[in-house]
Amino acid sequence: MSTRRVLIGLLAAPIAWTMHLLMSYAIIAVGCSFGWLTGTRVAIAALTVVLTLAALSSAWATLRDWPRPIRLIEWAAHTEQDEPMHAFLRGLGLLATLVFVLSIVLGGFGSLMVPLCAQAVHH
Amino acid sequence: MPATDLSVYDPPAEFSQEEIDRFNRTWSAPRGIFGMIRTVNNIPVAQRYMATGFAFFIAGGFMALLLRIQLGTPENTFLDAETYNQIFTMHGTTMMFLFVIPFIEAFANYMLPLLLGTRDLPFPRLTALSYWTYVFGGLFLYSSFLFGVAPDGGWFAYVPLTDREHSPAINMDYWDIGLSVAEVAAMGAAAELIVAILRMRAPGMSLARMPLFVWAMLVTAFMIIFAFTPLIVGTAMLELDRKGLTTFFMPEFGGEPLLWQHLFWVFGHPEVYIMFLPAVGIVSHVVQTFARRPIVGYPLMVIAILTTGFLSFGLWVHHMFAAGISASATTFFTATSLVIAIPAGVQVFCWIATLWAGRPVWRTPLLFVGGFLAIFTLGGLTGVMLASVPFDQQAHDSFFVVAHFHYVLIGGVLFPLFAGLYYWLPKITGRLLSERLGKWNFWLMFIFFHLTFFPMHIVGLLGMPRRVYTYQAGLGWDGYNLVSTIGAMGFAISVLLFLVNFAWSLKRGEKAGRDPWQSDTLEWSQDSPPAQAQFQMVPSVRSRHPLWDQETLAETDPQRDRLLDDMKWRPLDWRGAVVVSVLDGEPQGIVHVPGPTAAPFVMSVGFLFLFAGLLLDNVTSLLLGGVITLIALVLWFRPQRTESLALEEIPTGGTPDRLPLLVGGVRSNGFWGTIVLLLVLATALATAIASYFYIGPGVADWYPPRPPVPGFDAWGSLALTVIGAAAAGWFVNELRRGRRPRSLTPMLVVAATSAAALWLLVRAYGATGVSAAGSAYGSTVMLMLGFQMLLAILLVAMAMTGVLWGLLAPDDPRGEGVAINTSLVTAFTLASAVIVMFIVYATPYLW
Repeated sequence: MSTRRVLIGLLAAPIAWTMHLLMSYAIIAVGCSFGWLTGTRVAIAALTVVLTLAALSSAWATLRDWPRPIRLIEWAAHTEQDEPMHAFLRGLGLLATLVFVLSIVLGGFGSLMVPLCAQAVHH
Repeated sequence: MPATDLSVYDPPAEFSQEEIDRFNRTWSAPRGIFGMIRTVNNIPVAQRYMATGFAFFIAGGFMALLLRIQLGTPENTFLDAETYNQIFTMHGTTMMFLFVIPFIEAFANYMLPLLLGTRDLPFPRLTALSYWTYVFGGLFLYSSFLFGVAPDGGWFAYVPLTDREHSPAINMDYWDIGLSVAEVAAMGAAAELIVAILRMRAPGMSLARMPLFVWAMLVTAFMIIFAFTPLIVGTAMLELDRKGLTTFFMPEFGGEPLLWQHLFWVFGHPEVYIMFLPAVGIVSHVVQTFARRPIVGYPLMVIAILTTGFLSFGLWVHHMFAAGISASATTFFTATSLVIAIPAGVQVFCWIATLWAGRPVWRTPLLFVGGFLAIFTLGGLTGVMLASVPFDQQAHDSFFVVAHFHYVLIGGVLFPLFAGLYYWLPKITGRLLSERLGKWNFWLMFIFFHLTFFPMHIVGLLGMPRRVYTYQAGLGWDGYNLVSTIGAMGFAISVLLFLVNFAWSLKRGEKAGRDPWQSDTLEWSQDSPPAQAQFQMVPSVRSRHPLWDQETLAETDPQRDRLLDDMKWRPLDWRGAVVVSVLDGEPQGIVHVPGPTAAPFVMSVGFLFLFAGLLLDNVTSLLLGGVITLIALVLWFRPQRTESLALEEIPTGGTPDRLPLLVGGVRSNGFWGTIVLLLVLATALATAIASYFYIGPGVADWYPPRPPVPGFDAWGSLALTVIGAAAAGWFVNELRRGRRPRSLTPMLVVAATSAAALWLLVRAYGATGVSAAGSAYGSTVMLMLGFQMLLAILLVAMAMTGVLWGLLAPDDPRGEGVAINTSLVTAFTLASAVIVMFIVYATPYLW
């Protein structure tokens, strides 16, 4: 697996999360200012699904190209293997995907469970 | 484990004493007062940096005592309201900007070369500049006390309290300008750390073998770049508003006070992780050493550091839950605030597992780690509580929040710092601190910390607001406040005990030797204190724990060993260091490391005159500052004799048996430094654009009658930018094809087109018909066009340097390096120009 693909596997999930946060904030701001409640909900849901799948597919590509079955203890101890550096980075990418996918899902679907445009605090 | 053979550091038998002395002289720091000004070696600069940071810590702590005396009893008159406001503002500002970050960066400046196995940091003059700028900026800020105008709007400086109308005196101008200085110093140090960690490691030290403190500092340094830049832009915007030149935050002109909060907290939240992550690194080293085994779950620790760094940029709105933002938007930040507890939890479990699986030796450093685990966990729990919007509505702006952040900051940062000091001071001073005094230090600090801050949880839930200078008797708060005040006194005594221990150790402490803790990382292979010329022989790393796993630090690969011949107690008359590949740590070349110069000091003096001129609106001071800074720039960038020596001794092309001298191009440190600069510029541009769109939709009333239309000036400046980028791009393309064109002509084109583009940009701004002082929309247009003007000025400066090289030394590879770096900036400037033009001229049609 090339270094470029390994780095994409490492960074895809955090980038997906960053895009989700910024785009969702912008969509809600614009949607609420124009009163597009349903459209905004659909957009947020679609964005969440798309970016979650993107992050997961990057992880899937990493997993598929792993040179041999993973042994967690061996990887965690980082014994010398073929392409040890790439194995290290691939493992990091997989773990990062778990955390960032959770954050995308929690943020995206959580935001759909509260009133879309109402203030968090009523004054 | 058998001790690692360190004879690799002994000079080769064939070396004469004269050669050894020449090598040591090359790396020695100059002496005397003038020598101190010229010193750029990381060791003495870092020592001064740490001492200055600790002095600010004492000052900030003294202010905390004053606050606690005032709050110790109800309706106290020890401090009046205005003085209280100044002291709590300066307490927070000192601790956050003048102590923790500078101290951690100074600590990293000292320790990183030792941990990485390299001789110095890549840009020693930048380190020295960061230090002098920090000192002058801090003293500048504190001079406000002498005139009775210390900042008084809180360390967060919320508008509209801190705008021109509500804070008309210069208190907050002091804060704005003094802080900008500290920010620039921090960012300079961060750029240095990024390039050092990625490029200047011992051969064989792949990313997977880096010590955890190094990983922590790498992520921290990137976070500083991305977090401090919005704050610099924000403080500049606030200062422009206060000068009456703009109206970013003024609602009566279409501005948004909430924009300031966003800009501040998009810095402010990552800031706390900028402080926490190095502490994570320190704790990992201490736990590993005193558990006598490698850390459990090294990859988990690394990913926890990386994910924390990223996620910390998605939390900032949790400081604004009570600001009226929509519930759905705040939910994103609640989600991330909860998820970030996962990597923190992973780290805690890894440390506990390491201690559990090891044979812990409870020396003072490990005691402080134990204190950290207890206190930080409690602070983390209250953090999860505050992350929930409903709870936060009740606790916001109460003393509960004060308790929470002191638990996470003192527990999560200060206790690890003390652990690190007890652990690494023996390396720095050569003497062990007293274990007995250390234990007293720890227990007093631990007990009095809880006595001070635990009652604040209760008094906060009982309704006591923060940032109040007194309170009425009989509200049920009296006893808790008195206990907190007593606790604070005891805490101060515990810090004093540390100073006593430190002073004692310098005279009476047992000699530490190289490795008093039998630890595993490279710094313990060097003398205590380390020589100025560290790693006279470049060590080879084949394990994550070299001193535990390797029989020798000598290079065992014969081919790689031959490549490193030029670095074995060499070079003799100039400072050289090895550069390696990012991922695998394979040696790629040798770089010249700059030696002593007064340029950083002179530049800092120039900055001081600039700050004073900005504060007092004094043109003479501004001009003087500008002239001094220009002189310093010339001193900085003029060719050095030692660079010429390096070029004579080591070929830039390299051979199968010799590493090349890296002067310019993708593998040079200057190229990587330019990349970091572009990250800063991109973040600044993103901040300006975000501010424009944040303000934009609500300002229909303040738009000019028609949206601005690009005329000759706008199109002309864009065209000139294209020409400049094309010229620089052509030069780089020719190099890629293996040709060696002269850099003079493309650099002349870049300089001329950038100067002309600057002039046209000024005219283009005038032609928009908007006024920065007349509307917030106009302010944001000016901000973006102003950013383009700054880029043009930067390009003129860089290109003129290239022109000088092209005229005076056309065949010198240093000129080629300047041209390559300039081409990066031209490409960025072009992309930025297209984006800004689109936003300024096309987006008004959207609303």
